[in-house]
Amino acid sequence: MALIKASMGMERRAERRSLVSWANVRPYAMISPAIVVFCLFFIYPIGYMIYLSFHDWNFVSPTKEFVGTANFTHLLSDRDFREVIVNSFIYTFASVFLTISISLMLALWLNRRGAIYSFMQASIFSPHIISLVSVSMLWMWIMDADYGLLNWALNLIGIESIPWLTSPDYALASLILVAVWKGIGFNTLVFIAGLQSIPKDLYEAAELDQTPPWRRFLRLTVPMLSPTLFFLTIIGLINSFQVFETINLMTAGGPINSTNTFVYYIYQNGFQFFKIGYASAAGVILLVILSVLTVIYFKVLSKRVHYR
Amino acid sequence: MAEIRFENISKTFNEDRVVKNISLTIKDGSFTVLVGPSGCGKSTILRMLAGFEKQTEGDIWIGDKLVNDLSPSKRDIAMVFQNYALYPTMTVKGNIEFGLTNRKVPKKEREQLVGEIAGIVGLTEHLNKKPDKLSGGQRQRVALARAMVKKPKVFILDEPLSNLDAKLRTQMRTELIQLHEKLGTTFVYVTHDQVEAMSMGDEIIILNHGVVQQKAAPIDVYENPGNIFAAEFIGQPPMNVFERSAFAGTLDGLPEEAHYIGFRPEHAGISSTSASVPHTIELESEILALETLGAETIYKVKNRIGVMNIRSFAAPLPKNASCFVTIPFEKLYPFGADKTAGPGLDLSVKKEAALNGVD
Amino acid sequence: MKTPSIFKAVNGLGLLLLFIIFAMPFVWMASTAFKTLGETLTFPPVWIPETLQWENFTQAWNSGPFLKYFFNSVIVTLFILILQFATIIPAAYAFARYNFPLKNFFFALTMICLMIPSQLIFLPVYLNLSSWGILDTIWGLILPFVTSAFGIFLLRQSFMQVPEELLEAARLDDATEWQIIRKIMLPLAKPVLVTLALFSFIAHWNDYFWPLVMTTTDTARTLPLGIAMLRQVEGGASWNIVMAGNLLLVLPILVIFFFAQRHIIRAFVYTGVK
Repeated sequence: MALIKASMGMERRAERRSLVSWANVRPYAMISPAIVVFCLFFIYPIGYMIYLSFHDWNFVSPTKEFVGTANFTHLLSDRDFREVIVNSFIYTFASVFLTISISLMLALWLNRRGAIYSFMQASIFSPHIISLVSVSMLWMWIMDADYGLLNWALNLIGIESIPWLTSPDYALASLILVAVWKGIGFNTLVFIAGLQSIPKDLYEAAELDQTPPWRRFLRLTVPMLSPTLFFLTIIGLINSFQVFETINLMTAGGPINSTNTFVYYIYQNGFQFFKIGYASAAGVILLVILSVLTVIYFKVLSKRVHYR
Repeated sequence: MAEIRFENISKTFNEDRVVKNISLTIKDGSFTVLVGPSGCGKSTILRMLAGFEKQTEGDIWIGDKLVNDLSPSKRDIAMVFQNYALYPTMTVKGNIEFGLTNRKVPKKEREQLVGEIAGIVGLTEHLNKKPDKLSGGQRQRVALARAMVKKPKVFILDEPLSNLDAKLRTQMRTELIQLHEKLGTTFVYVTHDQVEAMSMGDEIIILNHGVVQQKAAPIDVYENPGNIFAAEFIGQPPMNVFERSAFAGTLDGLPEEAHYIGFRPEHAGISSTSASVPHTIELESEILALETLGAETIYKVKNRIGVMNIRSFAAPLPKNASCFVTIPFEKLYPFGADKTAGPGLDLSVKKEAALNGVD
Repeated sequence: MKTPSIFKAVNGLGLLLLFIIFAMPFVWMASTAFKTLGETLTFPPVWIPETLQWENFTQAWNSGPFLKYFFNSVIVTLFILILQFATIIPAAYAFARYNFPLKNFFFALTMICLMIPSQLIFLPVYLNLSSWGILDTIWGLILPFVTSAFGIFLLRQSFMQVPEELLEAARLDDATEWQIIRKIMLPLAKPVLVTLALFSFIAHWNDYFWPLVMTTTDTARTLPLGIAMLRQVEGGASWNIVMAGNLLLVLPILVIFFFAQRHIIRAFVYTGVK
């Protein structure tokens, strides 16, 4: 009996060892492909970019010269870069503000049952899934100063033709217009989803209390929609700061630098002027801006979770 | 073949000892019910038996196999879960068959087994449906079939009836009892419902705070509760228990060891007139509230001993009326200072109390 | 009642205007794609070309190695999709269902990567790919996207909602972890998987930025890049050819959108609300 027990004990231990060790390793094996890719293509590049921002390098020379914060001081005194910052902020805030406010109004309007409304929702959403290449080229053609559709429409209602993309006064505004056109559909539909997630009984209760409609909107809809509003604003800001495709295709940063923004500036300095360290420094500044936005997002998010 | 033995089992969750040094034997072929209030450790014991939790200390034996380090699937057990845990994307057949397929049972044998089991639980016409198309009772049957098809040594059932409506629950209770008789396998059944425990088990294990309070056949638990907890847990309404001092002047000559005295609500009588029966306590009482259930009436009355429940099968008395409550001496349960019914404090004591009682 | 009919008219007019703003550009694209060069250079514009110039499409297609671009696009998108699922599913399962040391650290790492846009780090990634010698190959377009932090996040959420009982039942049924994933978790997560697939497909099929940065020759260029280059090839004037090319790029996506409208909208909006 004792012998049986002893041999069982040994068997037990052996089984435990083989079982436990694989069970311990398995989770790491399962996450490792993803983690390796993250490290190679996200984490390491961030570190490398920060490293490069303190160096001077032209991509071909064998040595990277350490220059301290020279790239940053140079950037901040560069008139072009100051324009880039101003352009980026104007572009970002204007397009986000316009997109969000128009989308909110459209959501309130189009949040109805019926085939015509779902059709309209799909229609305004369609630009969102189209390649930015096609969006850019289509609008270049529409905004063509001489033969474009937009100027024709303006002439119809008695307004003179506008040099949309060829004048430094209009180019940035034109790009904002395209961004709003492309972004409205997605934002509207997210707002509609937010509206539909507001419990119906809240409105019924408000109706029983004889709350007037405008008050119902301010006291009920707006607060219940504020998480959606906040989410769309932050995501919009983060995305707009990285605008590149429309600028590259439609204006190439011009005319006279009037539409040059962050990512395009980094691209230009890196790939056209081969100022790798300088471009990296601009990238680090963009990283800081995006990090601040992200941190704000999570701070507010965690606070809201607490309130609930 | 499959007796279950727990030897000095303890389980600790973050400093919290939910099961405290339990040793138990569950007889082969028995229908054993683990019953207790929520948080008493019954589910933890079950999950340790199934192998989903590992005990902190002690050994678990199923038959002559020490299962401490065996994974759940190697323990020769089957389980019916509280929420059935049916695979929602598989058909009834797929659900029943899943374990067999994983064990690489040949297709022909599988078909035969599934057909056979489906016939037993009455699911033959539903084999190709998905669980969400079934009623609660049918889902329950699928869960049973899935457990049965493995022909396990032990069936574990975790509150399997708690999601059914009252009528279906009664019906399934009977079906489970019949199923157990047919299969003859050991059933370990967990519930918080004492009625279920009493009606289904041939052995009841009452648990509280991770400690076994009593382990006995249902009728024994009812007639000879091992301690005050068991006495109050089984029976509806629960046993009336008072401190010895409440009986001062009513019942003298109680033995030293009897620190608490209890009696069951259904053992007391209630009447509008005094009857002066020998060997009986008679108390003039006031009715505080009553529940008329048809066949029976449950009273809440107040008298010089205290507030107590009385269950009577006679025609109901009017509310707020005064009445007489009678308790036969032989139906009194004495408990010791540690709240247990010690062996020395048994029937003889009652008899003695009856003899010495003031009447 | 008079007000409702006025309201109805205004509402209808508004809807029509909205439709014009969003549909007219596409109509304009299609119209231009069938015009002669002369017809594009008239003002006010003509809407319906006199004869449909089908040869605009062949001319666009033949102005570069478009078959090659097309195949590159298909291969890149397909590989990204397959590899993403291969890496996302086990990682999401491990994060949702196992407890292991440093789990929170690795999950935080994943969440940080969710926040890092490729537009920010293209320069250092470019330098990496160049030092590994895979610049200007389709691998340079695939490798950085073989996993998706977003996908892991979404699928983990979905896996976490599966009740523990179900997994215990499966373990009692002798299912291996892989069988649990394949037979129980994945079928239950199907809506999320469809969402991710649509999302990933549209994003990478349309992507212009990454191929622009990572390719220098036609060997690895993709369709959007080829279409964008039409402008340069044609000297920037021939809008009818450019629009014909763009119609070829847009039409498949619009057709898919037409048929899977509800799915696609739900996918995008769901990922927006999450």
